[in-house]
Amino acid sequence: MAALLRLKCGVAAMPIHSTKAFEVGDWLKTFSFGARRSSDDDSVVAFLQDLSRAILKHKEARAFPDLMTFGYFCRKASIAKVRAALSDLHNRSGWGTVIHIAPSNIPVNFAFSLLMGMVAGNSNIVRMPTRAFAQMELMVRLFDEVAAQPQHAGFGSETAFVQSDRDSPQLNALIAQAQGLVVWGGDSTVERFRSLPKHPRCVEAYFPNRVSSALLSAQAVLEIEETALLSLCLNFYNDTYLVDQNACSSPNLIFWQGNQSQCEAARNRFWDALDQYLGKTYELDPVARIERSLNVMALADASQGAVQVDSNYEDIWRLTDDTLRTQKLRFGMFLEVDIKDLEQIPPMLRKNEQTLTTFGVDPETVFDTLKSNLSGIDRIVPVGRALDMGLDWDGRQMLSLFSRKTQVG
Amino acid sequence: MLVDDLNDLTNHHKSHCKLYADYVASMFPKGQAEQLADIPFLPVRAFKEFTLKSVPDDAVYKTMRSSGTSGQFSQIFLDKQTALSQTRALAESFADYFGKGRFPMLVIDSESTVKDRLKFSARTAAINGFSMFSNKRCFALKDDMTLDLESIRTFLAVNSGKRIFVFGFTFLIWSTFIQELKRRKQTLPLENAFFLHGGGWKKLEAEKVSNDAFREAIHETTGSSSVHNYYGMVEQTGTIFIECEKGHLHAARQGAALARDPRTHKALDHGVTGLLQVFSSIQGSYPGHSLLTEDIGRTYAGSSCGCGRGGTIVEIDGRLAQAEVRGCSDAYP
Repeated sequence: MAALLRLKCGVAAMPIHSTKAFEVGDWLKTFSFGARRSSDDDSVVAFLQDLSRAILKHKEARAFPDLMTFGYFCRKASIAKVRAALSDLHNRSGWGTVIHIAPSNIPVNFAFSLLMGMVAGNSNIVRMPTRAFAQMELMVRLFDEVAAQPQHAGFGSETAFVQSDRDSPQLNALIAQAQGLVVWGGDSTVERFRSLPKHPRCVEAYFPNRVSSALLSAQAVLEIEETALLSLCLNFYNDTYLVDQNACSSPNLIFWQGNQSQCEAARNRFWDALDQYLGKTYELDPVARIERSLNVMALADASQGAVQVDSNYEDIWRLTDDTLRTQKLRFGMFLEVDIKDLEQIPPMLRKNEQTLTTFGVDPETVFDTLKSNLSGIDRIVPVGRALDMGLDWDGRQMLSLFSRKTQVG
Repeated sequence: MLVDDLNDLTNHHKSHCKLYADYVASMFPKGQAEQLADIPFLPVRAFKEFTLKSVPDDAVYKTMRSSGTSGQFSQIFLDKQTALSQTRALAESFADYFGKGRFPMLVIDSESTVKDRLKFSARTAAINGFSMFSNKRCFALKDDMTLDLESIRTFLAVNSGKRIFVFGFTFLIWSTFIQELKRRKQTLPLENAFFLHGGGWKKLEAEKVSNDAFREAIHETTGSSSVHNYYGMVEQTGTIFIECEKGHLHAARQGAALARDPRTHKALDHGVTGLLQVFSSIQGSYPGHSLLTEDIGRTYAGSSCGCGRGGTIVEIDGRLAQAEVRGCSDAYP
């Protein structure tokens, strides 16, 4: 049973409100602050289905794999799967208005954050990245088009895309009233938003910096056929180079499991194959290349000494000094650690470890081993799925967190 | 030999700046360089992210800053000796092009640009630096950046008959001076003047203004046909590239340049486009003698020009676009 709990008459067109317009606040007149829906409201599913269609059939959208992924995620079947994770969905509804502070450098992350808010039944204010990404603007345009259709009345006034200054008084004031807050950003950003005054019952989720690693079985890498090796490279690429190894879930610490000679041989086989694959598909931005060199300077600075960097492959730079694992490694820099058994992993993990991707080792087996160590890992998934987006984020079930359950009977 | 001087500087900085030494050991395991291309280099933005100096704190005589687009700024530490070498090198280049002595200087900027300490920028540094070739200055723009024609005319009347040194940023000369004179249908008696301008063509390119059109417009509005562009950066003050009569930007006697492949950072031959690396044999207090810039261009042998100057020629196309960094680490701008 879908019921709109509160609805003001709203207009549907809402481009991204500029920093100035956001501060002036006229947009708030047409925004249904506090509006919420039942979590099982099927009109949300219908809206997302139409949004999915609009994205997937749009010619320009095809140029953006990240936007296409989002488009697929919005499909009816996919949302049904997400909703099925909560058996008590019919007893749930949104909390009200959730404010999302989107990260400035993953273009469609804001869309996933918004989607989570919508599916739970909330109205949403999304603070967009200051930098204009083409796929971001396209997504907002398509959202507006779908929201303007009469059968989707309501979603326009329940959604606002805004830009604001870092210390915007308007943003702070809205956060003080909002029923929910989602913050993506670095540790200092998280700290700033945590310290702001909130509604007493505000539901909050913070996503600070995280790091990730990969576990490769040397034996498995040595035994696979060429085609399987190629698909391993493709999967590894999708986890790392696709986003310049810059996502929280992109591994930069690589565990090779096996004896020394196995590890050595597997390493050579894997990196050789990846190097060939990269040669055909990958182009690191020249500025990022310069930044990569400066990363080495940062490593030298941190370790107060010269750094052993194996840069024989153009786009794969490898380190072996495991004291450097807490440093920022990106743009194709990997720290390799050889291990004989899985028990050697936990002491090497970093405090903010998020995802461990595995190849040749079953994630369940790894989990069982790590479980007793209670390491902080949130996800153990096969290589190739590091960047998959569901509604479990950093150890939280977002749909459950951002909906309220009414206990009945 | 320049290479020997640069090798000496590499060794000097290695023994006086630990971070530089560690970086060079990490990235350039080769020993002594036999040619320019083998000299270790730092990305110019290293000075934005790290403190790099080869003198003790109490020997720092002046800290130069340049603001960057991302809000970070370079910090360049100068001791007395380096500051002096910079002044001398600049004076030598300047005299080579414009003769010795000091000139009445018409600055195409506002006085507030150099007065307001908060606005300190590459522009301020350049105006102050080149002011050593002036015996008096006139600022051509009011604080609101509009043309102060009255002050200019008074200044020119007082200095009538003298050679005037007109200095400013390329885009400001174009937009606030030349275009404004045209709009007001005015001309100025600057037949005897020489123009020195720098700061990049990016904004002019957007307006499709070529170097030739720029010179032509200056001639039209002021009568001057001595117009010289320069290329330089606060990270290598003193050794700048100045445009000769034939339109080529030559390196100073203490400088040189080469281009590198933006992808592999391998050195390129003359005439091949890449990232420019600039050399300067006078930077002793900080490791700035060999820098990889983010400017795109080519080099040519100085001897190919025919103006008689031997310094390497650079041709600048523009700056690398800021990378679109993908990822979710530290996100909030």
